[in-house]
Amino acid sequence: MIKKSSSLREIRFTYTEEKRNSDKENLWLYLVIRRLSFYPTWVFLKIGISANQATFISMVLGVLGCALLGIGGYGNSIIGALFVSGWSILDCVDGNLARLTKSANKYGVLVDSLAGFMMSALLLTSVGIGVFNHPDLMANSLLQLVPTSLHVDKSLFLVLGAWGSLAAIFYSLISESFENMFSRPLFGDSTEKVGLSGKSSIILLIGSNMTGFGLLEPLLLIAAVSNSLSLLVVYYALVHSGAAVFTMTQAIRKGKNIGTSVDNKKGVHE
Amino acid sequence: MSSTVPSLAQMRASLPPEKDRLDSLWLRFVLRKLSFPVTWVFIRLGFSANYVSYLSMLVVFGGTILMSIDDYFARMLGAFLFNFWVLLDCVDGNIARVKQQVNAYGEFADAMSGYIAYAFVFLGMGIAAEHTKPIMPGVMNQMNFVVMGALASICHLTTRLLYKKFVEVTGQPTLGSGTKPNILFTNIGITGLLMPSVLVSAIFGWLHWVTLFYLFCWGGAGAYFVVTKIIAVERSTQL
Repeated sequence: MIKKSSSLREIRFTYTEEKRNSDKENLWLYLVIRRLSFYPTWVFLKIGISANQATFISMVLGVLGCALLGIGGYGNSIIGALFVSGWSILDCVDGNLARLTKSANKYGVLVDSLAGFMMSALLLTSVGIGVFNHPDLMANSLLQLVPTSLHVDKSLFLVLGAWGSLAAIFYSLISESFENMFSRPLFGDSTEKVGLSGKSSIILLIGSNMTGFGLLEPLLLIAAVSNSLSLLVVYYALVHSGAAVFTMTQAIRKGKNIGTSVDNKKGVHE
Repeated sequence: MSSTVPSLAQMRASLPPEKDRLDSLWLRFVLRKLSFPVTWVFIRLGFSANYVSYLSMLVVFGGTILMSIDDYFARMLGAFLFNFWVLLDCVDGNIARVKQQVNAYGEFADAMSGYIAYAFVFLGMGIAAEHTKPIMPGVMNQMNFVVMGALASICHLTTRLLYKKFVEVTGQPTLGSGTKPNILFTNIGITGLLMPSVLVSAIFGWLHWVTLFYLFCWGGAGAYFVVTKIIAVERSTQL
C-alpha cells in the first residue's frame, strides 16, 4: 500500500547504494537529475500516481519533446529540450516510486526500458528533422566545410540525426545481445566499474557520458538556447558511430574469450 | 583444423531438418542449395566460420557504399553484394556445422552480422532511392528516402532490442519459431525476400516503394510487438 505521508527523507532513503553506483556512470543523472527527482516523487506520492503511471507520463513528455524538437525553430527547440529534461526526471521518479512502495515488477521494468529505447530512437532523429526545417547559423557554417562536389545541403542534418539514433540503437542491441548470449554484461556491471581504479574508470566514465543519454540533456538545452543544434547533431553522429565500432570490437574480443568452447546452448538469431 | 574438405553430401547432411524447415522459402529452395558449393570453396580457402561472418559484415558495408553511388551499375553491384551477404550468412553456419565447430561465440558473430546487415541495407536502399526516385504525388515528394531507410533500420533494430529486454525480464525463451508472425517476418526479412527485392527494384527503379514497404513493415512489427507482449506481461503481473 502506498504511504502518501512519506517524507522527502524517506524517499531519499530509497536511493540504494546499488542505484547510486549505477547512476555514477552518468554525471548529469547522478549530480542533478536524481536529486531533482525526489521532489516530483513526493508530489506524485501525494496525488497517488503509481510508478507505472509515472512511466507513462514520462513517455508522453518525451514524445512531446521530440515532436517540438522535430518541428524546429528557436522557441520550440527550447521547450522541446525542457520536455526532454522533464522526461529524464520522471524516468527517475518511476524508479523512486517503485522502490518506495515496493511495487517493482516485470511490467514496470519492461515499460521503463521501452521508454528509454523509444527515446534513443526518436530524439536525435527529431533534432535532425528540426535542424532541417529551421537551419541555424551553425548549420550554414558546417555545410560550408563540406566540399561542393558532394552536393550536400541541409538534408545532411536530417540524415545525421537519423544516423545518430541508428548507431545508438545498434550499440545498445550489440550490448544487450552479448548479455543475452553470455549471461554477463559487455562492459561490466556498475559495482565492477565503480571498483575500477585510475585509468580504466576514467575512460569508462568519459565514454558513458559522451554517448547515449550521458550529457545529452544538458548539451541539448545549451544547444537549443545557443541556436547550435546542428553542431549537436554532428557531434552525436560522430560519437555514436565511434561507440558502435568500439562496442562491436569489444563484443568480438570478449565474446571470443568466453564463448569459443564447443557449446551451443543459447540462440541469438530469431 | 582438419585439412580434409568435407564433401557437398556431408554439408547437406549436416543441416538439421528442423533448421531447414524454419528457414525462409527463398533460403530453403534457392540459396541454401547455392551455399553448399560456396561453402566448399571457402573451406578450401581455409576460412573458418567466424571469418566468413566477419567477411559478410564487410560485404554488406561495401554493398551500402556502392548503393550510395549515383550510378546504375554501382547500384547493381551493391544489390548483388547484398545478396552475396545472404549466401555468406548460410556459409558460416554450414562451415560450423560440417566441421562440428558450433559454439556460442559463432552464433553471436553470426547474429552481429545480421544486425549490421539490417542497419546498413535499408540505409543503402534509401540512399539509392533518393537518387532514383521519380516525382512523387503530394507530400510524398517531400520525403527524404535516406531518412526513410534509416527509420526502417531504426524500427527493426529497436524492435529486436525490445524483444531482447523482454526475454531478459520475463525469462521467456526466444520468440517461438514456427509461429505465424515469425514465419511472416522470416520470409520478408533479410534472409527472405528483402535482398532479392532490392536487386529487382534496383533494376526497375522501384527502390523508393520497397524502402517505404519495409518502413511500414518494421514500424508495424514494432507496434505489434509492443502492444501484444507488453499487454501480456501486464496481465500476468496483475494475476
